[in-house]
Order: sequence, then C-alpha cells, then structure tokens
Amino acid sequence: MKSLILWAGGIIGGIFLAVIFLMSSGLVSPQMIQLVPGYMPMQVLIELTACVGVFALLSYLLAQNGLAIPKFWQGTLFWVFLLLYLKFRIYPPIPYSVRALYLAVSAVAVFMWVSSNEEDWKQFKQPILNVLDAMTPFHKALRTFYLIAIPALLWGFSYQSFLPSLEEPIELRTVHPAPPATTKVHGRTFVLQTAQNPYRVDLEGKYDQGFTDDLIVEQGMGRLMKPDANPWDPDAKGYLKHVREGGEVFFQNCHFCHGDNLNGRGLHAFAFNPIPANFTDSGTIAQLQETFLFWRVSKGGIGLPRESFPWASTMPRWEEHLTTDEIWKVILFEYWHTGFYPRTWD
Amino acid sequence: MGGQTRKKLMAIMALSAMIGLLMFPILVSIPALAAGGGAPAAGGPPPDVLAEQEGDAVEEGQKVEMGRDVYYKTEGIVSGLPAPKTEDDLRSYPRYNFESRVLLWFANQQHLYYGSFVLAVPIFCMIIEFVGIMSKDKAMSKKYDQLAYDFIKISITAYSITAILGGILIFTFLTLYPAFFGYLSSIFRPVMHIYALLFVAESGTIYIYYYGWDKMKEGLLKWIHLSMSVVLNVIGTTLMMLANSWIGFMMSPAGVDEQGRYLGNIWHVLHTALWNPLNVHRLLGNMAFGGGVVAAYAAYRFLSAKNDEERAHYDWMGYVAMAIGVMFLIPLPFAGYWLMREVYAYRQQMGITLMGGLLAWLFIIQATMIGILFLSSNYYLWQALGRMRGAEKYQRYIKYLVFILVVGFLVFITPHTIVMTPTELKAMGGQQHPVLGAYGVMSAKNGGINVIITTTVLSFIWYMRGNKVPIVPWAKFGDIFMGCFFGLAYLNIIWLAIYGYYIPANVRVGLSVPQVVTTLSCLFFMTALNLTMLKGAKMSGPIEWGKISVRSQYALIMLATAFTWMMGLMGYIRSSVRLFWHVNEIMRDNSPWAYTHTTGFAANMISFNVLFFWFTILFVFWLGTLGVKKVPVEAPAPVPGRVPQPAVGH
Amino acid sequence: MDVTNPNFWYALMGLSVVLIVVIWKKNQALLNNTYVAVTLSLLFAIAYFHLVNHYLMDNQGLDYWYLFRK
Repeated sequence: MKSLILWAGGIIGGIFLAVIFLMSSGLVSPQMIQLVPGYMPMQVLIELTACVGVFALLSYLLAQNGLAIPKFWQGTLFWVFLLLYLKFRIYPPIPYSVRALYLAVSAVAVFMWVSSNEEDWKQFKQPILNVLDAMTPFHKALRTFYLIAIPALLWGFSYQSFLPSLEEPIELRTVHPAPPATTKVHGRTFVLQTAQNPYRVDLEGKYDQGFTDDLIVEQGMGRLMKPDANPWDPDAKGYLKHVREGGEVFFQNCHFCHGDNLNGRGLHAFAFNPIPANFTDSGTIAQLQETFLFWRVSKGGIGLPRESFPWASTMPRWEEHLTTDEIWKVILFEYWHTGFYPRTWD
Repeated sequence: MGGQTRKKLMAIMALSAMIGLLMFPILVSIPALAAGGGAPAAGGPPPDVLAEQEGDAVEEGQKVEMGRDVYYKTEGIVSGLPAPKTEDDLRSYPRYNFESRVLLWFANQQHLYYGSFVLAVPIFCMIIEFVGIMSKDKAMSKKYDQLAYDFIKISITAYSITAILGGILIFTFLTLYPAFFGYLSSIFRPVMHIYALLFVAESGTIYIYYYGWDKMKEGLLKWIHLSMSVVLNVIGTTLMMLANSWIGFMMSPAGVDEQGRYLGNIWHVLHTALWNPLNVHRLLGNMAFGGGVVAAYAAYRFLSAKNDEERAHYDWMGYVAMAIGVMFLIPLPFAGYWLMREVYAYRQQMGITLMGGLLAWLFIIQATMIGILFLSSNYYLWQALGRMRGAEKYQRYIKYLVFILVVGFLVFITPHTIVMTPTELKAMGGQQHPVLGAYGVMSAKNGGINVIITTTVLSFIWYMRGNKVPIVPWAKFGDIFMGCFFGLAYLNIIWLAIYGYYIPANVRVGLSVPQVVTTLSCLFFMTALNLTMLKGAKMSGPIEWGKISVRSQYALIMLATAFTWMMGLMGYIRSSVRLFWHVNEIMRDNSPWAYTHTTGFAANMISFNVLFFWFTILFVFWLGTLGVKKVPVEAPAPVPGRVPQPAVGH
Repeated sequence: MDVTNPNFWYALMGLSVVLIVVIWKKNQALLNNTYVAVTLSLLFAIAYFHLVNHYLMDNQGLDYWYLFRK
C-alpha cells in the first residue's frame, strides 16, 4: 500500500517535472502552466518546493530499486535544473545580476547539502578524485580532456570579454530616490514628513485616513469598487468626489503614459526607456508616502535629485501645468484606483 | 582560618572599590548635571549662574535668548555657540595630501573593532564563569573557569590596544577635523568627562578582576569575583552607551536649536531619536562579534592542533563561543529592524536613502552577509551532528533544512533596485518585476529572515537531541507537538508576509512584531519543551569532541570574517547616511570629501579594515599563547549521567 | 462564531489543553496515537498563533483582522 502511494506520487511528480522541464527549455509554451500575475511570487516558491519534493521522492524510489543516482550527479543536475528554471520558466525574464546572485547562493546550498555528512561528501568527491587520480584509461582520457578544455574555456571567456560590446552600459538607477525634506510648489512650502493630502477627508471634511481607506477599490485582479463607493455617482460627495476630479485630471494628462489601467502601459509608454512607473505594482506607490508622490509629480523627471542619475524620466514638471489641488486629487485617484494605501508613519 | 577571613575582607573591599569607581564619575558629574548639564557658556555668565538667575533673566529680557529644540520641540535657554559654518580651507579641514575622511574611517573602525571585542569578552567571561560556578560537575566547572580566564587574558592585551586606538582616533579628529570636533566636544563636554572617568573605572576594575582570579577561587570569594565581572560589564556598557550618544547626536540631533546652539538640557542631547535603538543593536552586535572572534581563534587552534587532546579542547571552545555568538545573533536582526523603523520615523528620506535609494546596494550586500552568518552557523551545527553517535537519523533530513533556509535567504537578498542592462529592462517591461518586485520589499524580507532564524532554532534543537533519545512516556506526542508547532510557525510567518501586501503600510509595519514573536516562541517554548523531553534521555553515544569535520572549522572562520566584514559595512552605511552633514541638518560638511564613496571603494576599504584587524588580533592571540604555563593534564573525571569530557590543561 | 474575537481562540486553545490533559489521564497510549497527537497539536498551535497575531497587533494599536472586518 505504502509503496503504491509512493509510486503513484513518483509518477505524477515525474510528469509534473517533465512539464516544468519542457516549459523551462522552451519545447512547449511556457504558458502551459500560467504564472498568474499578482500570485506569481508565491506560485514560483510553491512550484520550486514541489519540484524539490518530487526530486527527493524520485531519488528515494530509484535508490530503493538499486538505481541510486550518484551524489555528484544529484547535486550537479539539481543546480542545472535551477539554472534552467530561473532562466526560462519565470517570465518576464529575470535580469542577469539577480540570476547570478540566486545561482551563486544555490551553488552554496548544493555544497551544504552534499557535504552535510561525511559519507555524502565522500560520495560527492569520489568522481572528482577519480578523474584527478586517473586510474582507468577512461578517467585518464577525461583528465586529458579537462586539461585542454578548461584553459580553452577560460580563453574563450577572456576573448569574449575583450570583444567590443554594443550594449548600452548598465545604469544603477535609483528608482525611488530619497525625497528632500521640503518642497516648494506654487510658492508654498510643504514639509514632506508631515504634509497631508487636503482631499483625503471624511464626510465632515476632516482628514481621515481610515475612512478613505475603506472606500478604495478592492485589491486583487478584479479591482471591484465597493458598494456605495462609486465616484462617478453624481451624488458622490467629499472624498469620492475628489477621486472623480482626480480621475478627470488623470485621464486628461497622465494616462497617455501611465496607462488607463495605471499599470504603466499607456499609449506612449513604449516610446520611453525605461517605461513609465506601474502604479499597480506593490513596489511603487504602495511603498511611498503621499507627499513623496506629490513631490515627484510636481517636480517631474527634471526635478529629480542628483542621486537619481541619469535622471531617466521624461515626466514633465506637473506644477507647470496643474494646480496644487489638482496634483493632490490625482494622487488620491491613483491610490483609489489601484487599491493601495499610501504609507503612513503612525 | 584567619587568612581566609582576611581574604574575604580584601575581596569585599575590592568589590566596594569597584562599585566606588563605578559611582565616582556620577558623583563628580552631579554638580554639573544639577546645574543643567554644565553647558558651554557663550561668552555670558556660566549656565549654572544663568539657571539661578532665570527668574531675573526674564525681566532683563535681552540677555536671555530662547531657542526651540529641533527634536523635542521644547523651549530652552540658548547656552551654546551655534554650529560653526565651515569652509573648505585649512582652518576647518587641515589635511595631508590625502583624503582625511579615509584616515578617520580607518582609525574609527579599528577602535570600534577592538572596543567591541573588549566590551563583549567580559560579558562572555561573566556568563562562562557563572556557568562554571553553577556546574555540578567538578571537571566541567574547572574547564569553564579556565576558559573564562583564557578569554579575559586575551581581552587584557586587546584592552590596551583599544586605548591606544582611541588615542589615535582623538588625535585624528583634533588634527583633521578641528572645527567639527570642537563643536561636538562643546556640546558633550560633561559627557566626555564622565566617559574619560568611566574609562579609568573600567581599567581599575578589569585589572582587579584579572589579577584577582587565582586569589578568589573558592566559595564566597568566587561569588564576589563574579559580581566584579557584573560591575565591570555595567561600566563597559555605560561607556558604550555614552559613545553611542555622540553618533546618535550626529545622525538625529536633539537638545539644540536649528543653528546648533545648546539649549541646556544634556539629557535631550544624549537621548536622541536613535540612541536607544543604537544601544541595543550595538550591544547585541558586539556580543555576536566577540563570539565569532573567539570561535575563529578556537578554529585556528583546532586546525593547527598537533594531537587529539588539543583538538578536543578547541573543538569544545569553538562550540561554546559559537553558541554564545549565535545566541546574540538571533535577536540581532530584530534590533536592526527596530533601528530602521526609528530611522524611518525620524526622517523618511534617511530611511529611503538607506533602504531604497543611494545606499540600497550596500543593504543588499549586508543582507547577503546576514544570510552567510546564519548559513554558516547552521552548517556548523549540522557538521557538529557528525561528532555524535546516533545523529544519523537527523542528517538525512538536512537537505530539507537547506532548502527552507536557502529559499528564505534568496527572498531576503532580492534587491529592490535591480542592476540590469537597458535590454533587460526592456525585456522586463519596466523597473518592476512581478516576482522580484514582491520579494524586494520589507514584507517579504521579514518573512525571509524569520524563516531563516526559525530554521536555525530547529537546527539547534536537532543538535541538542543528536545523541539522545527521549524516554518520557509522552515522547511521541511531544515529538509530534513540536513538529506541528514548527510547521505552523513557518506557515504563520509566511502567511503574515503575504498578508502584508493586502493591508495599508501603517498596519503592515506592525505585522513584523507577531512574526518575530512567532520565531521567538519557537526559540523559547520549543527549546524548553525539548529540554524537558530530554530529561533522563537515553544516550545513543557520547559527544566525541575533536571528531568534528574540518569543514566545520572553516565555517567558524567564515562566521567570524563575515561578522567583521558586516560590522565594517554597517558602520559605513550608518555613517554615510548623513550624506553631506557632520551633524544631520545642523552642521554641514564642507570638506572636499562630502560625497558618498562608490560601492566598490567602500567595499575595498572595509576589506582592508577587516584584514588589518585580523592581522593585529592574530598578534594578540599570539601574545596570549606566550605566557602560557604548562599545566599538568588532569585525568578525566567520569561522572555518571554526564558526557565524560576530556579535561585538557593548557 | 466570531473568529476575530480572541475569546474564540482562547476557547480553542483551552479545549486542546483540556483534551490533552484528560486523554493523558485516561489513556496514555491514546495520546501517543499519531492522529490524536496531530489533531490536538494543530488545534493548540493554530489557536496559539492566532492569539499571538491578535494581541501583538493590538498592543501596537493596530488591528490584525483589518482585511476580514471589511
């Protein structure tokens, strides 16, 4: 009974692994098991955990039947699997710098695993030592091969690195630079630490974060409006009315670049490099104070501090086109529409 | 008998002397503090006179100027000079034909390394001496006592080096940054004096403690000796806190008005926004660092050992030092998190500069180093399972721990600002990656580090049960309970990390606390449960000290190096977050070196500091071996129910 | 049954503790039965971690059940 379950698990796991592998190598469409936007971070972790489980199960089953895979190949192949997974499975592609970081750590992890006890470590070292000792003709041939191949490989790398590259240089761009302590817009000075959005108000017109937080759209894929919280209702008052006004400003000025879904994929977005900020990403406005947005919107790409070199932003200084009130309202709209809450410190 | 009584009397007198030394600076400073901190006078009457005249002063009007505290927002009488406005000239910044800042950096860092070491080691001694006294096993007790003595011996040499480096540091300040140091010492005048006096007290105490060791071996005398170490550590910690107040003031000034004029309340100057988080973080950091250094020393001696006996001893010493280091390493990230939170609360832009802006890449390196620390300590524990018979049952499952640990680590080091070529940027379709973007923020990172720490706790519990089989009647229930508790702790941590994405930032930041407590629950409850279960447990074999793999010792050296490197890095981050300020928003740095170094330069500088420290500390260790008298090896005293330890004289 | 009320979790935790003690007194072997042990442990741990989450957020003046109350 127990072995039956194990075998069933092994077969299902094997199929799963095969699918992941085919998707990773591009032989079938990577869309076969879709990565769902918004749930991707957890999905990736769960997939990897499942793969590790399957690997453990399969190697156990093989070992039970006398077909144990040598430790050396277990370790190496697992690392290669991770390499393929990170390179081809995850879409959009992960930049090289992060992949290198991940793979380096994975290599350490593999080392920690294979050397976790003396016996495994001996097993792991054995093939390497065999080649070095070259006691059999095969190993001798292999050693000779490595003696030539490794320097050749190194030569290849060096040659490659000396070739002139047409790539643009890497930019260490700071996406969210530290804001100044204060900013002056239309003759008024705002202290970024303490300033508040004058339109984030309850029905009595008092500043109320909690009240307005309850009225934003629901987080998640649908972005559904709350019942009785429709800014386009002609009777909408206070906060919701300001959201509507902010929306009007947004669709007259901002959506050409930032997109009608606020995801940075507007009409003109792909003319720019980098493309405009994606507000629906949890790493952008959800991490920032409202006053940070106020400063960025009013000063635009030109007003970025030195830290943001090379100031790769084409955003205009909106203070030249919008009033202070309009800027505050459009910020209100952005948070409302994305379902994020601005960062606060109390 | 009479000799014994006299000895006791002497000991009590010595202890009183120490406490007296401890109180001395406070007594001296009382008059100054009572008069409002002995504030630097700005030409006018001294502040204590001013304070007395307060009533009349109001009538006099023009004589007294009121200022508003930049942080506490209280009104106070201006009683100091404004912060000097420096120029890039030889008066404010006299220099060699070299970057003064780098010289200062070097002097500061070395002083700090040694300072941390000599503050941490006496705390170790205190713990180990206490363990030795409490230990019922005579042989063990002796071993612990000898270990504590070895530690303090090393620390004595390091102590004088610390003082020398402190002198060098002050001279560097005075000669290269006279304007800034003048200002700082005008604000901290009474504090600096107390500091100096405490240093005297510290020296007196440490020498009595060290030289009195043999004289105060038995009975009540030993307890008095132990209480001396308590006094010693109180003084040491106070010293550190005073020194912290200076950097706290530089980062988040308080007690002065906008021009930097002192307002007569020394407590405000000390108790700045970041003082206490810094204190806690540094204290824990010092301890972990000290443990690392001592463990590396033991590892070095293990690797170079000539016989099994020595190997056994240094294996044990490395283990004890590592255990103490890790004990303080576990709460360290939480203290760091608290510090960051206070930084954010103090100035948003400071927080962003650190975590998301200019210095973000240094933070990625730092996260990597933290990960390395935990990875190496786990690796050490797993390797240590190899010196126990019966631990094989756990070794099979290590691979899963590796997986959990590394996944936590990968999430923890995912950068928020990613280095990429423009082509990659286009392929990604924007700065934010749907996977990496989510790992790059605090919510996920908190999850990552808590998973790492919980796994470390689990490794430690495995280590504790390595060669034992619980025989309590509820053993199976206990095992299952422990498993479920750990499983749900992992789930809870991950759940809280995910939950953080769906709620507002101000609620989200609060989630870190239940996460931390989940981890700590595992640490405290599960360790306690484990100990209860292991009472009278069946031994499957003794711990064979010295049989540990060589790899484990390299892990210890790695641990220590990572500690040292990380301290250098964190110090640099903390200091450079002030950007072009000497004192944040009060005194501007107008020297030609008021820019932030490139990450590469900073990393090289840190590495240089680390290398220098290790070379000099090797010298200290070598000095420690010079004075060793060969003690005859004692026969191991087998005590029933305890692992026989090879007692090693040295 | 209001899960956002800590008393609910207290009740759950209390229940698990009582069950553990009672079973232990009546029949030691039953407690060491895998299924019984897993059930009781999970019951206890789930209740415990919910209480941890609830009270530690409460201490900071925050609401752990933020998303569920809406």
